[in-house]
Amino acid sequence: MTLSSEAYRALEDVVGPENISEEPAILDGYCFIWANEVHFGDKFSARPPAVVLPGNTKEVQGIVKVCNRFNIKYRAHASGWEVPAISAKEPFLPVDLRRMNRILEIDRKNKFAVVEPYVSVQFLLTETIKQGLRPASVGCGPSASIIASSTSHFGCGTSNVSTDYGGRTPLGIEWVLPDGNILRVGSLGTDSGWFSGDGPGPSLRGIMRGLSGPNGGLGIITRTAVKLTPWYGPASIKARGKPNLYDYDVPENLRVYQLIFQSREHMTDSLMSIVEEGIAHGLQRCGVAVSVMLVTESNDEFWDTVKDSPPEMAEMYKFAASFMVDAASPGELKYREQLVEKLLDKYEVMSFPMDDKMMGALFYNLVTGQGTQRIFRVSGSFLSAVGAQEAWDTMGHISRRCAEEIWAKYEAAGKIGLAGESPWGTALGDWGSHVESVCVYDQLDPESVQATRDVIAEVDELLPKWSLGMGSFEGCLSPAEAAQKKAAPYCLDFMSYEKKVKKLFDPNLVSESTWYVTPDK
Amino acid sequence: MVVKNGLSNIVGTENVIDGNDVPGHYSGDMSFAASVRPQAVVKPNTMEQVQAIVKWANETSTNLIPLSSGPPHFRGDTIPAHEGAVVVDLTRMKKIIRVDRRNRVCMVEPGVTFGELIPALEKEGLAPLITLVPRSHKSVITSFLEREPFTIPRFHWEAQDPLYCVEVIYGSGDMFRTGSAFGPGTLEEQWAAGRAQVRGMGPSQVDFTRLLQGAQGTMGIVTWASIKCRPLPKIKETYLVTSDKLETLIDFAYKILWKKLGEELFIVNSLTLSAILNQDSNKIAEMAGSLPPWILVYSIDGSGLMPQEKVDYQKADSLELAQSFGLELKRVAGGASADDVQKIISRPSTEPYWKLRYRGACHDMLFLTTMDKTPGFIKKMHELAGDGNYPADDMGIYIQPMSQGTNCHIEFNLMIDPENKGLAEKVSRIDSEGCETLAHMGAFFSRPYGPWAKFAFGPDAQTVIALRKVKSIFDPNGIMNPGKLCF
Ligand SMILES: Cc1cc2nc3c(=O)[nH]c(=O)nc-3n(C[C@H](O)[C@H](O)[C@H](O)COP(=O)(O)OP(=O)(O)OC[C@H]3O[C@@H](n4cnc5c(N)ncnc54)[C@H](O)[C@@H]3O)c2cc1C
Repeated sequence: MTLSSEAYRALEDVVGPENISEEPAILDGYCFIWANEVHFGDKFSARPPAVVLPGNTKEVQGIVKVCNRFNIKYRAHASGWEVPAISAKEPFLPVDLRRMNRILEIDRKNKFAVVEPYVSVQFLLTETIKQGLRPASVGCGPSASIIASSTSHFGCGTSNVSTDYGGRTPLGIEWVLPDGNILRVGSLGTDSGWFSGDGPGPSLRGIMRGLSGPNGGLGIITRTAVKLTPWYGPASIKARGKPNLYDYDVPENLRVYQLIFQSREHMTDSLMSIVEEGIAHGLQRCGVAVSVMLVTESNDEFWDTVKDSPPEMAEMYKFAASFMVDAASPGELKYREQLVEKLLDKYEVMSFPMDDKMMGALFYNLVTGQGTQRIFRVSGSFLSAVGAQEAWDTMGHISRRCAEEIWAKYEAAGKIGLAGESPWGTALGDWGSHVESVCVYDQLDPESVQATRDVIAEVDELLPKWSLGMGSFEGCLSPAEAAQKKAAPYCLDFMSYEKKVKKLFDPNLVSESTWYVTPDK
Repeated sequence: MVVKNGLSNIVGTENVIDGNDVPGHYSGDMSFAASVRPQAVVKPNTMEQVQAIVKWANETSTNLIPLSSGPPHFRGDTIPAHEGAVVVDLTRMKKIIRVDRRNRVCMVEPGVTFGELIPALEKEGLAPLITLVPRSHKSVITSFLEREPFTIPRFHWEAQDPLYCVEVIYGSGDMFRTGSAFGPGTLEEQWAAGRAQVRGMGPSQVDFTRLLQGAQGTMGIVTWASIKCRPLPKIKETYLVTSDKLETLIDFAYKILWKKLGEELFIVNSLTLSAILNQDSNKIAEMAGSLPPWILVYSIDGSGLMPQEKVDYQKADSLELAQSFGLELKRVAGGASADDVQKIISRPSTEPYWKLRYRGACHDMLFLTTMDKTPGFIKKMHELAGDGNYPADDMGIYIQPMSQGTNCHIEFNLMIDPENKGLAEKVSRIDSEGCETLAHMGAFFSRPYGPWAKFAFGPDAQTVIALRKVKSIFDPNGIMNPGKLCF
């Protein structure tokens, strides 16, 4: 796609010459994204024709109207940490939202904040913990945009056990629809405030997102209120030391545990109990290796730490999780500590002994999801081979069957790394759980990239056959609808509805849709 | 006759009522909706029958009004807006399909009432999330399809709760299952794979459940739903926290919510509490007179591995908090016992429905706001009542924190003598004119019944346009409950 000079000028009129560029050096900054080579065979995504940086809703609307007029495909770009922010076969116009970076309101009493798209989880966390509140964390770490996580992409993270899945936290929403009209969802629509995102009548949040958001394929969200959750820790979290191995003190009314379970069943039962008791602030399923990664600076240091561990130990640590208890009062802390002891006894769980460094690292990771990006360290890139959200038992079945029936042969071939039956996972509110098995690969080795493609294709094939779910994150991360097509014989047809949504809400098909749905022409 | 034959072929003659045999409660309810008699009522018993009815309705261009609860109805949403409609009465669909203790979820058909669900859940160690003393024939599914609030804000994480997945026959006649229930596999295969239909979002990038909630039957007919439940408490302590000043109770409630203490938590005025507790109108008046004006009902569940310890520490923390506001956690107040309140709010209403006990009829006005704004709305409602010559003392008030305290439902129950036509007219005026005043003050009519729709949609053309697009996807011929909302 190229941009005519007339179209460029029209965009320039909207944002001003300083906020639009077609300089190749600038544009190449919008071409690199992890995993592009897996999806589109090239390390770099197609260079966009230009980039625009709106400063407010009116400018976003102006851009979208110009795109409709000149048939320019556009896609929103928040912090650009996620594949669908950038990755595409064909070029499109990135609408970089970095100038829209204000927290507009924190309503302490009613526990919500109103933000613009470039407000990160970290920024909002820093401001809200001063008031005893916090937003949902997202597993990719706190640099990600709150709006991207809650309205446009997924939104699962280490805090979801207390904050809920990010996708369930939006309240009032201001949304520039693909055709350039502004929709104000929920109480905002009648100027009643930001406190509700549902109604009047059927909730249009249901169009805005489902399990995932439309990944830029259905307009641009310009402001959102998100629900906040109580935070009982200190008003600021102090880091000591130097990057990238900061030290953190665990606040006195929080407790961090690294649990080792004897079996899959023990693990599921204990984690379900922890959720049902409602005592956890953060929870993630992950092997002890992840904790070790958090406290080591490099692959070499990591390897030095673990290389002499007997193989039985790795096997033993397969079923592991870290979690954090918080308390609003001394009485609550005492009760919760006793309860944890009882739970550990009941399910014969081992609490892995940790030094202050590891404890601090786990604490910060459970609050913010900060540590997950270390996955890039292992081999340079990664892609999740499977991801699913439903009941806890299903998550156990998925990780077991994938490990036994899919991962094993790829691990043996040695082209990609998979963590056996030790995936990453979180609790989602009090209702379910998320599981995700990452595959680490070498971007520069075509065989490794191909093995990544193959493993994902096999998950797409087998997961529906096992009635365990649909591959590529229920089709939300499956360009060309590969996962959907494989699952179609086993599922009710949701695609035709989704395609109708796309067509009705984006009549000119300009909201770039690689990661949403290919519209019926 | 053609209609009767068509429908009888699907459900059998005994399950179709038409003409003058259609009972009056299908034509009019306690709301001010104009009375319109449906041409027939059909009572299917299976999803397949429902689907056949919807297909028949598309072929014959007949409007359908789905209805799952028994009378009395209050909101006008199940009264046809136009002549010639057929009411699809789902009250025969009474199966409790599944109770899953492990995942704290049940799956029920639309005719199941709270009274029927409670014992089935109890057997498995679960309890329902229940609306404030629902009427005995009220469907569990439609309570939550209509986003009715329930009394435990801690479990109300957000507006979709406690509804997860549903099976629906859309207005197009297509069957669909929302959320994680869409597949892969049959329900049985999903259960065997450990799945429990606990994810309402999806499938994929659309939230199909959410598009049905608040729809007043305008999108399709739900034939089952999976619904979140809670552990059955092993012990329970309930308190009445009273005050002359609503603001004090609201501040206390905010703190309790921030500390995530307790379970049931809501505020009522003395008339509402008294109407819930007493059968006889004299007794209602008497107790309402002796109760303080505002009562916060608050309870703590002892459940899990250390039930008594949980109650003990939460009680101590709550007491300390109450004292800091100059409040007490009372077991008895103004002749009302906290234990009686607890028993009553754990079940559906006995007959007559509590809203009808005081004056014989009741008209509700309800909307969403935040708790701190409720005193302003209450003041305004009193002014509106005064201006409209309605006795404000006959107005019940219920404030229910929702979404863990992020917003709240406020409900005014304007109790009236059904024989007093003059007063009914006054209330009707308060309803339609007051709604505009309240909307201007920021009341969010998220469930706009009858005349409220004008103010809920009026100022916002884009919402209407978007909703009509949604409607065209699921109900392309517009046969589902036309005339409601903005359709
Ligand atoms: C190491 C790693 C781990 C991750 N783990 C998780 C995880 O555990 N859970 C999880 O949920 N995600 C995870 N992600 C995915 C993703 O990075 C996050 O979900 C994050 O929210 C993306 O935020 P962002 O600001 O980078 O958004 P971007 O990458 O800029 O955008 C993400 C998508 O949202 C769209 N978008 C962004 N803003 C808007 C807007 N205002 N309006 C409309 N569309 C918009 C974009 O077009 C894009 O499709 C992970 C990513 C990495 C790299």
